[in-house]
Amino acid sequence: MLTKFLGQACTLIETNNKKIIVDPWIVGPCNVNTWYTLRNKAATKKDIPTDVDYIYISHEHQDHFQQETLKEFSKKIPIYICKFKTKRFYNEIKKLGFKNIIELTSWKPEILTKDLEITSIQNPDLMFEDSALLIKSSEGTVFCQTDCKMDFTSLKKVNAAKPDIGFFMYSVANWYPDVYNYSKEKRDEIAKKRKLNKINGFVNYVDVIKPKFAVAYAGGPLFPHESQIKLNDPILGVFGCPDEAKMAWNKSGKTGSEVVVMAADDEIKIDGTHIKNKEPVLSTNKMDAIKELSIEVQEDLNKRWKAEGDASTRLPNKIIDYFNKIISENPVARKHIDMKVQLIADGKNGGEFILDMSKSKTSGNYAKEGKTEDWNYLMKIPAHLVEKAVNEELLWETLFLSARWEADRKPDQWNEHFINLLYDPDPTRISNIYKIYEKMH
Amino acid sequence: MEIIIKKKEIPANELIEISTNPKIIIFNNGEKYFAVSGICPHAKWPLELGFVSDDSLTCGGHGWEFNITNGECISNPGRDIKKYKIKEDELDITIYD
Repeated sequence: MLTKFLGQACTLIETNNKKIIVDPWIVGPCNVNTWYTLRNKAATKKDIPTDVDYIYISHEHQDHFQQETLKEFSKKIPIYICKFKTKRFYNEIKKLGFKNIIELTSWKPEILTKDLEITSIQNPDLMFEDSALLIKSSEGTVFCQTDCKMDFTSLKKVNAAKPDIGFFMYSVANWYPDVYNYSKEKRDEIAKKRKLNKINGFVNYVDVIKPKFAVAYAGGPLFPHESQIKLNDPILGVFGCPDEAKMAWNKSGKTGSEVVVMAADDEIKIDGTHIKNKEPVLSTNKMDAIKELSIEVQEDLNKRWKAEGDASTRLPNKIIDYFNKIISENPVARKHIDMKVQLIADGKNGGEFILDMSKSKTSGNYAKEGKTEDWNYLMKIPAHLVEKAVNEELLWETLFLSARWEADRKPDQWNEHFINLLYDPDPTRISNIYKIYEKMH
Repeated sequence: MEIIIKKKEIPANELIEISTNPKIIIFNNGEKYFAVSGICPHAKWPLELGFVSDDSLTCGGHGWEFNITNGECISNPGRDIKKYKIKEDELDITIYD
């Protein structure tokens, strides 16, 4: 049994002459032409192992489900996903032309061959869909957390499966705090704390699951566009490097697992033999890596950004129609969101919009053009990206992950209800969630 | 519900589980004692795996933060944990609803 790490959350597991690839993002950027995998040199199509028997995709974020990589695979290869409450992810894969998409019930093993079974493990979150994967063969057991935030009972069950090798997320991969309008001191303090909490989470995951060998992965990406270089700072940045996870494990004094730092394209055998094929990107050499990568891909990235085009003259009406629809259709979400948003669609054909999701507002226009000082949340987003989002060509989450926007909050609080509405405003989904949420709280 | 525990069994600056059903944890910051529900509402992680800094209890799984003095969720408002009342005498602590 051999596992090849291919960057971010992508692993290729080869066992008993069968190959399964998990979360294949190998080439090109994702998240609106911003993220690259942690590599010294960008991968090419030749690096994509298309001769696989099975594909597993944990969830729809583009660093796990990336079309540029997926289009290189035969559409006949079976794709396995977790059976989520909604069909949205299933339908997105279907749109790519894959013919055989199999939904797995969480924690119900799927026998692929007499020597190989996989078990999908769903996250417990009410609002956001994600999954991890356990792969068992007669040669050994591999666990891939991807970036699934798992419930503690599931961790104990994975521990009981006695994994030989586990791949664990170690880094924040999110827009907070970088897009927010904080002072430098405040921003740095938040980033430091977030990074520490995530690495602490890595240590606890490894300690509970206790694989023989734990690989730190699904971490921070590289942002090579010249306008985003500062996001890569290994000291002040929120995005970590795998050596930091290893150091934290060693410092914790916990035992029973060995943490391994792998570069993309490295391999690990089931007995822990680490085959080093590339130099890893670490906190000590990250800025050199990003400088080189930035030079290498800048021209291509600029072309991609230009090809995104401009917003159309119809954008203001589209914004108003879109938000009036999703806010009016989801009164229960509005009750929990309870805030006013100032949306600035920045650039050609953009404008300023007030989205009123106050719980006291129960009728009339929820979205209109205008400016207010009375906002709770301010979002300044390139107009052409807002248009893609309201056209439903781009997930709001994907746009947010790109860090190509600015925000502010009054009060300075996370509002999961607002993000959940944008995640998928389908009224049936929203209504089902709040039936459970309101019982819980 | 009422649980009585010896003060000497609660060292300072450690999160200690004192009941499994309901799951309750206690924290002694060197001056005062705080008792809250021991399960994170996010993904049911045991909160004794977390850590406390000032008044903030951080879950060891995914970093959700709670104010240990009143149970309010700081990182995700509305997702609070239950706070238990405490009576203190010279030797014992009583935790009650």
